[in-house]
Amino acid sequence: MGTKPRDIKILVACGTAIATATVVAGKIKQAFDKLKIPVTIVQCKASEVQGKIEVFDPDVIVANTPISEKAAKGKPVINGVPFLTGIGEKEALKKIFEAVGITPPEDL
Amino acid sequence: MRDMDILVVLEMDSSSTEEVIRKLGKLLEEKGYVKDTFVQATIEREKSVPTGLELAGGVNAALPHAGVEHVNKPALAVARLKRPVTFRRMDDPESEVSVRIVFMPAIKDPSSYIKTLMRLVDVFKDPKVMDLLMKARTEREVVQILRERLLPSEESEEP
Repeated sequence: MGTKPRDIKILVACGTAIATATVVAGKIKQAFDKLKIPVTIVQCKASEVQGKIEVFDPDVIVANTPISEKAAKGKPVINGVPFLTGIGEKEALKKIFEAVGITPPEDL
Repeated sequence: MRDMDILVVLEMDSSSTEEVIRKLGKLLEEKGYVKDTFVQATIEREKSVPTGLELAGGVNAALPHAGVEHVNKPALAVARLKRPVTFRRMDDPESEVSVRIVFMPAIKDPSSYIKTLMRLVDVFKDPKVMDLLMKARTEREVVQILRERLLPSEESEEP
């Protein structure tokens, strides 16, 4: 990686409990670890997104349930369900890399 | 996690999300895995946070469940549906998905459930395994397929 390391922050949100968010966060972490890119991932409930943005200031929000534009406060929101189903998983990962300013590797 | 029982119902005949939840939840309740509040709590949760998932192989699934306060001991109840039943999608509650297999976890310990869910997601992502689950002829076969994949091998015991 020729670029300067910087603090990449991802907020993962799911419906009520934290279970699916944890699974999605785990899959994203794996992908970043594979590329040896440090990343901080915080999980929350969808209803907590607005508050979390203020304290955590993520680069991107990955959500298993729709998040309103208002709650996202201008942050990009990416659907996390592909990490649970496999449908569109690579595309979702690509979008996350792009949202945090990393060129996605060819062999995702 | 070796204490997580798997209950299976084949060709459950239901015509709505609520009916599936009621039938499968009742089974968990009758066997003592969940409290009598579980079914209603699951129906309510499914309304506000739906769990329908469209999967790659075309066998779509749903994961209806309720909070730990409604559970006595962990289990996973699985229903293969005779006719597909419409569930609302987790990622887009405004739209629906036609579901053929329902996984209803009775979650007692969230951190242990997360490990199970991680493995269950790997099952969801593998059309071959989903196909095996749909073609299994007996409840026992379904339990075996799931046990192999959901319970860590170092903990699996000989029957």
